[in-house]
Amino acid sequence: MRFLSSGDATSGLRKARETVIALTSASLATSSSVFLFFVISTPLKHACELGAGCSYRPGEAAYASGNAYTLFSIASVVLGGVSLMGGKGSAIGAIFGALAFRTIGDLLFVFDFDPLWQPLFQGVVLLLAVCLSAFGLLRIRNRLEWFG
Amino acid sequence: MSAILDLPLLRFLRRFDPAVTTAFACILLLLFVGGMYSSNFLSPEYLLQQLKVASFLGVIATGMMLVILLGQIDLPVPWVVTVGAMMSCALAGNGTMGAILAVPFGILCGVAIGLLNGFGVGYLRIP
Repeated sequence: MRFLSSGDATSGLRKARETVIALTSASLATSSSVFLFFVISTPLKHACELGAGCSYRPGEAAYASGNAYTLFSIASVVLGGVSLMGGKGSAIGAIFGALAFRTIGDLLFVFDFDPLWQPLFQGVVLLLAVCLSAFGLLRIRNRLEWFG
Repeated sequence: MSAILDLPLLRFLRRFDPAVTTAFACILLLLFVGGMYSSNFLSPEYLLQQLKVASFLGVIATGMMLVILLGQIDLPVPWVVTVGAMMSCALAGNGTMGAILAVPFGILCGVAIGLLNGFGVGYLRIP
């Protein structure tokens, strides 16, 4: 990730190339996660025997839950300590953030809350994480350093 | 203050990334709270299932992390998920060869979308 985190010192062209690489690998990770989901939810052999995929439950689930994944992944990235301004963070943090975020979601089921409360609760958690990561602003004297 | 910071436990903790340590402590705390409420929360089956479901989100979050490091946000996540699922499902119906090629083809479709997206954002300056 070293080449990505040195974005401030690079020329515009280099930054454009890095953007292409980052967005492409993000989509690669996203689409390969679909197959990870296939593998863990149904045995792969069974999935291949099914043939025409209308009865794939994972695909159906991915279609139905739609927009939630954008918020989920951003929230877990923030929980894992990646700065939303860019330039700081690690993949391990993102993975641990995802695990923490799933655990928060499941805690609501344990406490017998209405499932409709879940987006609100997860939004509050995301808000808290962003607030906590902004505490670094209090420590620096010149705020321009934060964006530099 | 410096005496507190020199405690062995804190020195041990500082060897790790603070953000990762915080997230890990969050997980332990949540598991502890859940485990106090219901004993099923700490069973091996539940924890294993939790790891499986979170790995799915974790892979997406790793890709999202790459984009956020550059100060941008990857919006088309749900649609890339859907395209990957639909394309591979459509190909999996076409005999044995289709079933073998289904997974690489789905990933390739996702890469193509990401490449188009990245080209637009990086070179054509789409916000």
